[in-house]
Amino acid sequence: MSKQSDEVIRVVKKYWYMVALALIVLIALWYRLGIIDSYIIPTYGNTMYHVGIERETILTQYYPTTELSYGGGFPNFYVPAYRLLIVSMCVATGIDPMIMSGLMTIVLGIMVLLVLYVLAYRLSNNLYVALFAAFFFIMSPDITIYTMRPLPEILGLFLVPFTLLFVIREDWWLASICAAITALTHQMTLLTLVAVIGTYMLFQLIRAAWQYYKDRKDREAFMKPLRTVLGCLAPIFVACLTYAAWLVYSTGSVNIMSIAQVTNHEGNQVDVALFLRVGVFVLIFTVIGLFFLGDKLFSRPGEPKDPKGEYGLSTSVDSLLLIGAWALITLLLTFNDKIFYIFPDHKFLIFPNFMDRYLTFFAQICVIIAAYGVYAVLRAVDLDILREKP
Amino acid sequence: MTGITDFAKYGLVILMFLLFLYTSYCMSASYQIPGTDSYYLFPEVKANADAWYGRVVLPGELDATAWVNENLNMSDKFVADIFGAETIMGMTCRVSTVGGDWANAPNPVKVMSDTNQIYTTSSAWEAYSLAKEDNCTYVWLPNRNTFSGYDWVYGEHDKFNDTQYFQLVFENEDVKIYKILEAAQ
Repeated sequence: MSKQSDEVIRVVKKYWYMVALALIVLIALWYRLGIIDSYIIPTYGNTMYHVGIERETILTQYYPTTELSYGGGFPNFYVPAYRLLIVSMCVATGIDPMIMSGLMTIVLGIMVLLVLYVLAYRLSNNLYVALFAAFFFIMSPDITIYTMRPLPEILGLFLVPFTLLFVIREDWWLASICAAITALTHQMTLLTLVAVIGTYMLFQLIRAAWQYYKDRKDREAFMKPLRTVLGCLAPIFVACLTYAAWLVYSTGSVNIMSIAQVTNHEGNQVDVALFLRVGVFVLIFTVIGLFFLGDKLFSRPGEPKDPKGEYGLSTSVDSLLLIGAWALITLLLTFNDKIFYIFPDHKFLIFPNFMDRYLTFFAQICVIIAAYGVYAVLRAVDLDILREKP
Repeated sequence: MTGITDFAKYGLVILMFLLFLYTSYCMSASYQIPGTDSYYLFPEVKANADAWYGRVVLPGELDATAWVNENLNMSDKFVADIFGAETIMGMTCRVSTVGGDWANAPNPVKVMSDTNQIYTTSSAWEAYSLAKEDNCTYVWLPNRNTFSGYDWVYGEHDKFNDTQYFQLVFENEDVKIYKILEAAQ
């Protein structure tokens, strides 16, 4: 090969990764520009209701204790973090809350993409898996639907992976702070986060018991997962306490069983058509990714398999358990109407409830698992670039 | 990367990713999901997500909120559908019969039903009675289908021209605002 083409290849190898990531972000940005390309922000999902509370907060300089909804005058029950974020940005910039809601949706949408990128990297220790996760973010219709409208859920979709990033790092202080903010952002996000961390905690407990059963003399082998179990209690406890404190402050009670969403069992059943909204290719590669990760879990994970000096992938048991907990619990929540079918009237506590809304949290972990899937396929075809760190 | 095989391999991988993007944002197609009556549409991101970009409310409705801010009291309450009500909330901080969070609202299903009935009935008296029962002072009547929690309905607009019960106080091509008279004339 000529010297010139060698130079071209060198430049491509040096910059292709950053260019690819930038293109992914630009595609995500391009699609979301439609949010502010009109006389009003997208209105599906009670978006202007949140603008109303934000506007009232700005005008009165107090977060309203009573509602504007349904005739108003009753306690403002909705958690305030998202609205206060928009309010603070409005106060800082002087921009109208409706326009700021639209602008912040674009910012938060990109932040959801980037946090999934960072978390995929943290879980896999591989920049290609992270890049593929970012790519699958823009391929998922369901994630797109919930990151293109000014809703508290978009902040929740950022906070779940952001909190789990600290969980996997075992930074329990930051995980607890994020869990508290999540509790004040969106109720369904809170349930998802607590359930994912709780299931991860359970998996770690089983792991500790298994290690103890295998060899009780190897103290560190079972004490490490036990320490993780204790650590997980912190964000769970802080999140639940924060939400309970908000309930007592706003309504004077921690009872949520009488709220309309619960008594009317609000939510849409997730059928095949709706489930496919995760993304056809996302789901195909999720299946491949699950096989790949399953193989990792049952073949002594963490042990380097790549030849010395080659850039590879290293997913710890902790990461595999977290991915498993996230996928399992969000899938169960997505089909919560089916799970509780055995109960009288097919109802149990708050369920069935918001099945279609939990699907988005399932789509998030699918994006990460699918990234593993496409990595596995490309390694199988021996794409040599994957052996080098970009 | 050394030979023609490598270039072909990289070319195919790039093509695969471009194909994925094409199916998400460009390709137009629909496939029946086996065993169901449902169709899955392509380009899958745009076909699924574009609908959620819907604004529902009309430009004139947004303009009308400026008139509301300038001319009505903060305590005034509207008969409005969910989208109109939330526009009123968002731009003027005034309340309506429906819209927003129904979590702990007192009897939200009743006011949804009332609002739907106010829009759909042909009886001016019935609309007036229900509006008074819900302590409303104005009716927001957009020139589009309304959604108050049940169905999308255009409704029966003529009844609001009955000056025994309602008085037109604002009008543009997208919305009319009627004052609900204190007492039937």
